[in-house]
Amino acid sequence: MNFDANYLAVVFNSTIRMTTPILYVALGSALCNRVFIFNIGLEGMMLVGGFAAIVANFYTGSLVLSVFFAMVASMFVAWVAGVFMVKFKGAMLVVGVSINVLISGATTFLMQIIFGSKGAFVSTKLVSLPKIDVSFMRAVPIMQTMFGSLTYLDLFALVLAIILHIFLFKTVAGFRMRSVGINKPAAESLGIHADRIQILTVVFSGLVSGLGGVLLTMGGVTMFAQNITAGRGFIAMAAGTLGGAHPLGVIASSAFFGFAQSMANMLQNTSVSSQLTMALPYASTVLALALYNYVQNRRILRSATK
Amino acid sequence: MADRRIRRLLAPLAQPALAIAFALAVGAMAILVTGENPLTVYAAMLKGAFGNKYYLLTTLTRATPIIICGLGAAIAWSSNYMGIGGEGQMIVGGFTTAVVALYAPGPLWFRLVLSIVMALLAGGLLSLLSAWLLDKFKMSLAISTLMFNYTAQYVTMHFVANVFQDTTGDAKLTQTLRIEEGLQFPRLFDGYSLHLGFLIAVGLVVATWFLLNRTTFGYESRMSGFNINFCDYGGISSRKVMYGMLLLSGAISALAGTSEVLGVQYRYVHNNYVSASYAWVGLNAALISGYNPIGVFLTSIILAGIQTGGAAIARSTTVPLEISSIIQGCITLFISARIVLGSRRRSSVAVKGPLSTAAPVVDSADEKGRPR
Repeated sequence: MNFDANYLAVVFNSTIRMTTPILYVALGSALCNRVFIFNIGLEGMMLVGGFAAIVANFYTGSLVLSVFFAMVASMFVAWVAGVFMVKFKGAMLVVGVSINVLISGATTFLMQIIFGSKGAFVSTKLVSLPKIDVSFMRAVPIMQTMFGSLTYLDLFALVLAIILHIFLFKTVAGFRMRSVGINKPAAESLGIHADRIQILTVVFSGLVSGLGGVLLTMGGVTMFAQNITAGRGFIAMAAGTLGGAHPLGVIASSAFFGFAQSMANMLQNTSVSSQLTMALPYASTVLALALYNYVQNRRILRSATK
Repeated sequence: MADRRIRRLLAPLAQPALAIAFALAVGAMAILVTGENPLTVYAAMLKGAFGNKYYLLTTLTRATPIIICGLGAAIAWSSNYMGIGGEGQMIVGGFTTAVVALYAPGPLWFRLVLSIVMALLAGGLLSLLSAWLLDKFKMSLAISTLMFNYTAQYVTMHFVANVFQDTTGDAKLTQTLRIEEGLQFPRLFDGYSLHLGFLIAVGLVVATWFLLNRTTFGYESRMSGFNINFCDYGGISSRKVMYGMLLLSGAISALAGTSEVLGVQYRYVHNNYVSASYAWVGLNAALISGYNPIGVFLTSIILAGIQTGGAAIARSTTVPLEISSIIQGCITLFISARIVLGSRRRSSVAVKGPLSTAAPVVDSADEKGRPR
């Protein structure tokens, strides 16, 4: 391993590609946090989005339809979860765990029925998301490495974070939404339909998780594998919390996890044990959250003693 | 009077039964997609799960780790500490048992006892770590336990692959050496897979029931489960309850791994517990039964039956094995609504007195699903 500029550019590029799927789901999780919903089912919603995209991709060969179908499927699953959490007052953790078990089973089940394959499905018929053309950067090859082989969906993740930031903090609708999370009965007493806002937020979190799933199955590689999300939805929940449920903060926290994952991949070709590097993103999540909460608590303590 | 008593006994069963019926309906739709007849498939599943002595004992063998993990989850969740770390705890338990049993010095009985004690410690400590993070850093128990599941899986994989790997056979699996016969759990019936671990699970069911219902500690933990502020106000340290219950829950889940290593595989095999998702099924059993140890026991056997039955039909029909996950996920999803009904009923109990648990399942006041 030599740490030249080119190597760093490769790390940078792979960090972006690892970050954006997490970022989508983390944005969904952050919004759920804002309306007091602990949505552990995001993992399943991400999985169903990725799966639906591959199914539509295989049968239609159309990118637009694949993305659309993924959004519809993950929104439907999220709607079911939202109704059970909010309308039927199901314990959020229980609903989320059920959704994850159900989707993990259903996608594997359908993969066998539709494609007749058990572990993974690849086909030459599948089209992948088009890459952003970076040839205008050819004067600076290192920039090409840094921003090469990214899709528009990667780019949109950042745009979405900014849009959500503006929505949450600069619009009346965003203010209403946050009020539900701060004090639901008080918000209801002012005539805000808190239940409806909560369900809509879960549905929206499902939609963006579905986009994250699309990036997993149609971004870098174009395939579906059993439980391809591999806990990314859970990591994204941690990223949502770590980012302070703040869209711009979530970009930073997702980038941290993206970096941990890309390091895990990069270190696989070295003498470092590949199994240990695979544990890296998960262990660093715990460390980062502990550090974040420690700093937060101290800040609260200090402002209290002043 | 007798009628009331029957209703009181059956009332808690009404909604799980309804949830199972709904879930079977969803499963039937999935089976229709495959082009098979749901009724014949379900009949074949039932036969494959409980049809004869062999199938029944296979189901009970599969139920053993599910029961143990379910008890571990029930203990933590009933005191309102909703950890989902059963999988990681089971992994470190199984791994520790295998390594200690293989490499510890001393006589056989000593190695056996040591391997079990060390596994309990390992699982308990992993769970304590999450408890400590919650206590000191207010870190969500759900997130920390989830992350530890993956961390445990890969760290143990590292040690198995690079230190303890079985190089004698030509197997490509990441696994340890086989544990010698003197350390293996005896089988309960000759020629059938059911082993001593099942009896341990039954013993644990009784012990957990006793702990939760007949001891001060169990009372305190239930208090903490009802209302944590009230519990502290009443002079019960909710911190003590948290550490105690999570330690116990982790140790019990680790025992599930021990039972698999000493009773079934006779070695630690990487990814075995994850792919069978014993811990998640155990958690589902705890959720379905409302954290009642005897309920966990029965539900685990039913869920294990769905799995062995599902495996049986996957061999003989075109219906994939995952039909069992679909049915199971639907059961817990439909039952999640009941958990709230249950707690609402409980809050009315406080006013009317304990006998009013016989109240009908659906309160007319609750029909609109509005918060009170």
